[in-house]
Amino acid sequence: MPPLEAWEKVYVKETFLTTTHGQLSCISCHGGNEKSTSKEDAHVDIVANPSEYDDIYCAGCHAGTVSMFASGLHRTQEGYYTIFEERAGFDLRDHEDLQMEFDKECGKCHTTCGQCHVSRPASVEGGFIDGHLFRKTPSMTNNCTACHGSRVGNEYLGENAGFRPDVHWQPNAKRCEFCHSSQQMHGGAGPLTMRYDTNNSAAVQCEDCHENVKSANDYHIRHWERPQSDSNLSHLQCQVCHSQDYKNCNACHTGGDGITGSSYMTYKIGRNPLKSAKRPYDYVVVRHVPIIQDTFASWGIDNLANFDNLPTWKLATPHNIRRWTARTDTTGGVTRCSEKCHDRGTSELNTYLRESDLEQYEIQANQSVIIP
Amino acid sequence: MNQMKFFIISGLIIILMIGCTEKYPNKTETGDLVLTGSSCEVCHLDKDLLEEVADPLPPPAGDGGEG
Repeated sequence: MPPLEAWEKVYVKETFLTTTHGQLSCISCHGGNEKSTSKEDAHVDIVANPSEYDDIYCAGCHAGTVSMFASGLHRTQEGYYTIFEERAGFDLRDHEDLQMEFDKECGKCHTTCGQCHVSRPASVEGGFIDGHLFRKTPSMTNNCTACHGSRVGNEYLGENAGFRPDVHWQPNAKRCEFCHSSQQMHGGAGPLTMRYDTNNSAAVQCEDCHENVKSANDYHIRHWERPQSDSNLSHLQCQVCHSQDYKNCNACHTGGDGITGSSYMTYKIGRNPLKSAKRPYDYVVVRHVPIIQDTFASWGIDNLANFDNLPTWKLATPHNIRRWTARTDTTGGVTRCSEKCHDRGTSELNTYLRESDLEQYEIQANQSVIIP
Repeated sequence: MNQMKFFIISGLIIILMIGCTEKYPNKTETGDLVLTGSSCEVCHLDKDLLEEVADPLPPPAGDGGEG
């Protein structure tokens, strides 16, 4: 997303002055010196992003939301710290130098109230979305997919060549908020270690809406409902049958190198590495994440000590759901299970994550995920 | 003929009047702002003024978000 022009970022529309927020004096939120006639003096001690200090500037009117958001993953980035600690063996927050590097390189993904409700997020260089007017529901393109664009956004909107939009996407109707509630976005589930935390009660699931089709066809019965009489039937995540190929990335390095190599579209079924009451599936789709042992070399961490603790192919929830996919479409008389999924690794379908799909450095890390 | 002259001269006068209208009514001849309220609003509600005084942006830092 190209950044806004400098003037455009700070241009305030007249109509803003008639809104609730516009009734406040500028300096009550932004500080500075409103009596100065010089640009430099007027901006001394300016608070460009007041909601960075939401307990001061927002809580007066929005106490409940601010309190809830204090533990929101968009604010805390707790998922980053959790996964880093799992692989590095220590909490980076205990190291001031590492925290500074983190803030510089990863902190752009930290979000404030304003970066969702009035401005574009910092990761795309900020700026007012609509002349300082606040939006209760964030803009899908200027806020949500500004950050979650290259994977989620492109999948959902069907912008990956050769693949169709998510069946839930209806322009100007079913935007992100159709599934993702305000409570979820504001951390309503309480402190979490990451988005797939088993305590994430606010996270949406397909079953929340589609439970009524649990026994709608033989495939659902065998892979979802699973009669007690047949204990051999595996429980599949919905996406195993209903997602299209999705984007995967190779190694990434801090210090400016970024992603090494091109991203690529693929689809892989693996064993569920995060099995829980909320995600009880035996098999899920897995996405390759851009991590390697020396990802943080520029921070002085040449080798992640516990690299093998977590798979590099992780549980994925692609946003490109279709009723008919390469798995479910039996047009042309392809009806045998072996022709679509149960190929035992012998056909060209190549849908299961096998050891042969892995690079040497990640074989050990993915033992809990690969299918023998 | 006289009528045409009249229209041409009238047109020129109108163009001159528009061209000489002060671009920023909140500025004095020396360019200082004349404040009737908050200087924040004087600048930030004026698109043309913002464009004129905006500092150039540094080059983009690269892809943000998911990369």
